[in-house]
Amino acid sequence: MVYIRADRMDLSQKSYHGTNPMNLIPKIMRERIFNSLYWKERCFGLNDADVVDRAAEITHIGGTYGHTNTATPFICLALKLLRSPNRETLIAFIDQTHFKYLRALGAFVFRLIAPSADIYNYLEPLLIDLRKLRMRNQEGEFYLSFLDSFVDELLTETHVLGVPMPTLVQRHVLEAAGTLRPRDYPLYGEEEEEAERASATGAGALAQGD
Amino acid sequence: SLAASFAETVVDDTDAPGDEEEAYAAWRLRELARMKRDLDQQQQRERDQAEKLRRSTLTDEQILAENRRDPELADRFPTKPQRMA
Repeated sequence: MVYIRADRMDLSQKSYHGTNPMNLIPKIMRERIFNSLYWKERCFGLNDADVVDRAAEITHIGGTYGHTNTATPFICLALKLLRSPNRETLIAFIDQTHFKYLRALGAFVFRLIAPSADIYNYLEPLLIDLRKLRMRNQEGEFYLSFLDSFVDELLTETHVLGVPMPTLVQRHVLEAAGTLRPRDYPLYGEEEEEAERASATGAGALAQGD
Repeated sequence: SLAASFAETVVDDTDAPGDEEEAYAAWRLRELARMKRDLDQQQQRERDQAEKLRRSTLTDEQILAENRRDPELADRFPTKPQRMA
């Protein structure tokens, strides 16, 4: 007999990118999340407000790690939010500045489900958030990153935390179509030479963290 | 929990009030690197567009001659596939 557990997949959910939003996390990772202690113990029957409490407690950002592919609390909460994603809630998570990990969580889930123009509009302002984040890579090692670096990864990389990102329409295409205004860089007044020096010394690469 | 306290000992993620200038300086470098990357990509797109326009004015023979000189060009600016006669 086939039955669906209420806490797992919400089949009445409207689809995003042509699929149930929970499918945006790949199958193997999803199974590891469903099997993780954190999911079973702390994520049962959470609503969006409870997710805030959980996100305020988390200490690092990561996908799954180690040879057992253990799920981090961060990815568990992301999957929880994907069960019935609410745009307004995610925007509220992104807009608040008090909990940096909640902000990162909101940005991650928003990147997965929102249309391209919204992603640029709501995530690019986070590029000025320079707070430190503790990240965990696939080997289980912790490293230091920053909220702006994480958001930049969301905007540029094809995979973040081992999760494939839905295709993002390139910025210049949206600008040409008139849907998006050109980005105003906070440091636009600064000389280009300095930008060149920054990339020449590899400061950007170092700051990426890993 | 134990795992959480372990994480805290490995990497310090506290944004201490005294570190603002240092944190800003590091962010500034990251932001400048991003800005440069975006500018470079934009300039590359413009160069490619100009090159595409230039090649569109050439004859087939001239394009083939150019491609023979620089085989990479054929990949970067593919010509329209020819219809079979």
